[in-house]
Amino acid sequence: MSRKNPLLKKSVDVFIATTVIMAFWYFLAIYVKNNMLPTPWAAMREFMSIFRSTILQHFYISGLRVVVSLLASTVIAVPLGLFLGREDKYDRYVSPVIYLLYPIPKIVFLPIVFLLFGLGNFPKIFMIGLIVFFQILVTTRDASKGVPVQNIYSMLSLGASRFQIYRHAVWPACLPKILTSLRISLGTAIAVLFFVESFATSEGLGYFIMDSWSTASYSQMFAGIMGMSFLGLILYIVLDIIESRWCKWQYL
Amino acid sequence: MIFVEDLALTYEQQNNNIYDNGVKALANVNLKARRGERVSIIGPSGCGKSSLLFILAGLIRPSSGNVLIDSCEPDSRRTDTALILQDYGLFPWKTVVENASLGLEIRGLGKREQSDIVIPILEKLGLSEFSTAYPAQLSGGQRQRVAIARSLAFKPSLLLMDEPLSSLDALTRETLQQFILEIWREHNLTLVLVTHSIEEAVFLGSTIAVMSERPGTIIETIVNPLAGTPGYRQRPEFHKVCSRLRSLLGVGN
Ligand SMILES: Nc1ncnc2c1ncn2[C@@H]1O[C@H](COP(=O)(O)OP(=O)(O)O)[C@@H](O)[C@H]1O
Ligand SMILES: [Mg+2]
Repeated sequence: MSRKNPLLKKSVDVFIATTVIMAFWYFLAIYVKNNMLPTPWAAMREFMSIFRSTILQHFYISGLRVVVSLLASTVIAVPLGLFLGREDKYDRYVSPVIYLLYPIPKIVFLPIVFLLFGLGNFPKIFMIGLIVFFQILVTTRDASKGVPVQNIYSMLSLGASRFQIYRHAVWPACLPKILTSLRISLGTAIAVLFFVESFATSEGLGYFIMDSWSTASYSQMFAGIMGMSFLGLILYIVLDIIESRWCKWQYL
Repeated sequence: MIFVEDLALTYEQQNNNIYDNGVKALANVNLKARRGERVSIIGPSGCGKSSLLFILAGLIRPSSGNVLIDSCEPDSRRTDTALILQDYGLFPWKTVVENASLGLEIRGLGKREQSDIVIPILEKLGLSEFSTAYPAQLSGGQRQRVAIARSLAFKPSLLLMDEPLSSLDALTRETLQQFILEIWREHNLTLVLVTHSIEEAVFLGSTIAVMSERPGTIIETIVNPLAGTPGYRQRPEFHKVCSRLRSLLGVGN
């Protein structure tokens, strides 16, 4: 059934989830009875009315920051992780470095990053990218390490070069786990995005939410929150589409 | 064709444990096979059968001894040796055609040339209607046939099989044994087949090499000239060789 129209099924699922969240929100709002928590309808009305004039532009800039930072860290972390998982002699030296750096709350370097790279888009992208980089790297490396040696033997006996082994045996085996790590990283990225956008900027959904908060425009604030949720939703859907295209074999 | 002399293999110690001197997998292995012969290798599990095949395929190097395949040292890049692994041969993310063409793809053949070679083979093996299926959509027997198709694609002269049929049910097993014989005949192969099934070793191997417990060595080489002949399974000779193997392997009584 799901094979017939996956898009339709997905839309229905999202619709149901939205309804449930809205209902919960609605009852909470009635219960709280405070303008700090507007009803979903009020927030939605606000969202619609300011969507083209303001939200869209913040949405666009936030989306850009998240997408660029995710892409950049993926492009670096995935090949590196695949490589370290297969080459023990390098992993031995790199692993301790990763384990020392991974747990550091890298967000505390934000002032230094701002100092080094100014206040434009780059430091924000850098900060998000730095944080998700480690999540993707460690997952990819472990997935690559877990590729059974028999798979490698079977490639070698076909005369494969090292690059061909990565391409045909290691990369496809790790791809589902890489996509999982990207889903997790996406959540992290948006959380970090919010944080970095609350400093020294006048663009982005994070800024918009904080700004509305400071002027006590609560329905506007919730419109911004909805924008952020929407941003995540779109990116998750993109990842799902990539997965259904590239990892067809997983869902047979 | 195959010449193995005084071969020994010790896997180096894995962790820096001073009591661990590594695993002695093979010791003092001697084996000869002529071109076109079918050798079955049988022995208890863990005795080093797979390791021996990996050495013949040039994937791992012996610790000592001589191994020659057609008077050359084994080399995994040689195209005339093909290896079929028990469980991991096929890639679940590749379709039947892609799996079967993998060796050719690696050799750098174009898509067109690949399918010119692979499509007839798949047809021959009764797989053409599954060519765009994924391994998970096939039965165990079909999967093994895809693995065989992949090996045949680059016309090897030596086919090494590591317990190729051990995960199959008895019926499929006998069909595929017959099938392996046909492949062997048609492609003029030299066949080395590792198995832990006594009946399989006896039905397929014109030479049967019996291995001891680890460190594995070949304790006996049995000549089995009737192997593969029609109705061999029903003949008294078959049962005689089987019980010979049983007593050598120390099973039954
Ligand atoms: N990569 C390896 N490192 C260390 N020991 C190994 C390795 N591969 C196999 N062994 C050991 O060598 C012995 C022979 O293994 P194997 O050749 O797989 O046996 P078989 O195929 O006959 O079951 C076993 O005891 C196994 O534990
Ligand atoms: Mg084995």
